[in-house]
Amino acid sequence: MGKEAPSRRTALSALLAAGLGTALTACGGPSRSVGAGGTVTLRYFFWGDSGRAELINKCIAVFEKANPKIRVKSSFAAFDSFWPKLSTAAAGGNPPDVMHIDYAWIRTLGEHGVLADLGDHTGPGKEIDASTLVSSLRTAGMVEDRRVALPLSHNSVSLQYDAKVWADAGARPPSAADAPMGWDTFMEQALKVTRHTGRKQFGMDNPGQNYLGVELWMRQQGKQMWTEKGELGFSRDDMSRYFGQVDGWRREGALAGPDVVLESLPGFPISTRRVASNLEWDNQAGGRSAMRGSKLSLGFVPTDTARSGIYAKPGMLLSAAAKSPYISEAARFIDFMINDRRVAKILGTNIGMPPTTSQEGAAEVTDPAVRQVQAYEKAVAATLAPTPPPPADGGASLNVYLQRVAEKLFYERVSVDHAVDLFFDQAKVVLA
Amino acid sequence: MASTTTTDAAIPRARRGDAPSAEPAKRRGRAGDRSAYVFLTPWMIGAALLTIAPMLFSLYMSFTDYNLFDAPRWIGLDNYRRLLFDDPEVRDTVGVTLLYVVVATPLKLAAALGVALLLNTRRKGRNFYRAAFYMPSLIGASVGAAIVWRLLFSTGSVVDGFLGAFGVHTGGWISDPDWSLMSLVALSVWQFGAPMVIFLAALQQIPRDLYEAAEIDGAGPWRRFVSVTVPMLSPVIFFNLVLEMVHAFQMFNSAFVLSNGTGGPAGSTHVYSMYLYELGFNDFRMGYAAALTWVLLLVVGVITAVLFKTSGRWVHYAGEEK
Repeated sequence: MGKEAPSRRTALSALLAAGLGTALTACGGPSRSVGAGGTVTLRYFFWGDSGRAELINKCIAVFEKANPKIRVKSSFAAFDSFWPKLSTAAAGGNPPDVMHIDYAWIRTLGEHGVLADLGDHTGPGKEIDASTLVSSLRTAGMVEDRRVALPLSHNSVSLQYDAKVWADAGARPPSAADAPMGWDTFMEQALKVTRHTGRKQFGMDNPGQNYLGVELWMRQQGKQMWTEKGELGFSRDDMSRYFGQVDGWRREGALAGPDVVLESLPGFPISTRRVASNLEWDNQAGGRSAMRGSKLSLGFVPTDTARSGIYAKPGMLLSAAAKSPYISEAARFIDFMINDRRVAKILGTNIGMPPTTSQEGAAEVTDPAVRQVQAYEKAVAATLAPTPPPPADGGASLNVYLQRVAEKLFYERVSVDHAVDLFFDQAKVVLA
Repeated sequence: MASTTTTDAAIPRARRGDAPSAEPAKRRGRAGDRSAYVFLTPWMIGAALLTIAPMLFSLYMSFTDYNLFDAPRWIGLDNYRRLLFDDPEVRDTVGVTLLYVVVATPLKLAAALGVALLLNTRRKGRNFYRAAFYMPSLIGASVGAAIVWRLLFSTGSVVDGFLGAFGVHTGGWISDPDWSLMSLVALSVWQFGAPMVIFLAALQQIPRDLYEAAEIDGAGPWRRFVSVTVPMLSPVIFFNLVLEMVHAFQMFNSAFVLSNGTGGPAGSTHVYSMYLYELGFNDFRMGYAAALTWVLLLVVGVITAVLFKTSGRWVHYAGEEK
């Protein structure tokens, strides 16, 4: 097999990389060998906590039983440290064979040849069956017509609100998917909450302060965050209009000020009871309700147009490393994860809604929080748009800049126009 | 890097003066040197592989467009041109960083010296106090410390209430762009343990007879402090000043942890090193980030050099004619 030469080269390049100071975080170790009985070992890296790891290891056990020639060695990291670890390992030429990828990163990794093109392993008679993907996820994981990832789950944006607080204030939440509330009407209701609670709780967390709200509004206007080519999909005028609107609502008091967000850290204004509603991924409702100490309902996002703006966002995607010698085995494992009903049963909604029709309904759900998410997803299914293009290479951190600029605006350090200029100037530096 | 070179330079210089006789050392000469190098070899191999080589590589990177995944592409001085003239974020972060250095460094040194003076007495429980004051430096910029800090400095919290009792209404420091950097300064000052220990050691080296002589000449406590303690401590003050200034320029952890990685509110704690980190590890603009690093090193180096040049005027080494 000529195993000697490549392994020596790998060792040498690893040594060189370490010597050059590329912090080469080991996430697995050099176990590239084929074992005695022709067994192949896949290194699998994902993010999450020990609870998720337990579930995933259960899935792995099922897979290994069905595929005795393939071993899967998993390791995981917290979300914040996952990305630096993965990217340094990839840069050092030693990425794991199979890995979880966030949607924000797939263009960066896909364009630079880190991720394998699974297109060759997808289709009738091949390892992966992608025909089962729910329709809104069909394009998720494609970068320039190459299939670099397959979605493992999906979520949608929702309006989380504390129904009791809203009712006490005499405010009306948007409660029907087919008859959405306009933003102005919604803010009038939110203002009632702020007034009723004496500003102890604001009607809503400021959606202009992060990526989620900006993207939603742009999509409602028929724009998008990123174009297919990886450029910003909206203009300075669009952003001025949006910032002007939300800043007005903040001044009125319908939206919380930026200090509320900061004082809630490391939690969220919704969990520290400083606001009574916010925009959030639907699968977060259970966790936030627990932190808040009262139940959060899932409402429908306000819109001024015929578009809801929401879409099926791949919560996690699975990729194989282009450098892996076992792409075929990796593909088989990926297919197992996205199509096998046993996986869906074990995972429940730990990582979101199942991505394929073959896994739909596999999990018996008794948890009311999960049922709520399922009910919401069912209600909005008809309005879901396909997954939009992924963020540009280098654009993953643009939401940090967006937040910084928004804070400058909402702390009244800069005008709306100045804030928009700052954002686009920074985008130019980052995307150059 | 700059920190190691300055440390190495400052300490031996102070010691050289202290040595009662330089003669025997000179006679031991070459042979001693050679065995010293033998013992130093493991360290030097490590330094060459893990410090000098990466440094040279980063210098090379700073002239390239490099994203970790593709081969670096030589672009000459483009990175430096962009950071000097075209990047508004560089200007902002430099402003924040300079403000932090100028405020935090003297305050921290003053706190360290003040507490060292208080602890430089033969009172009961002295060791306990020393340990207690040193403790915060060990905790460092941990997440725990950041959470405590957030609790201390948020609206309606301990600090807000305490200042409010005196009629000073600042609100929460953490969420106020005008004050957030000061909460970081406070965190840094609180961790004065390391310079304090050095001050304490130096204080104990000051000969008692100097104070006695001063007292006989009629010097009061303040006069003794200004005319005996400060000049005798000046090499150590200088050493701590350089070291703490370098640390302040490199400040990253506390700003990152306290602002949850945003540099907020409104960019008011967005220090240079944080921007550098974002560029390198979020955006993968390693070449540009490397250029930022080298500019930082250069600036810190120049300021250190200026301090060394001017130190002759106010730093007194024992045995020197002044």
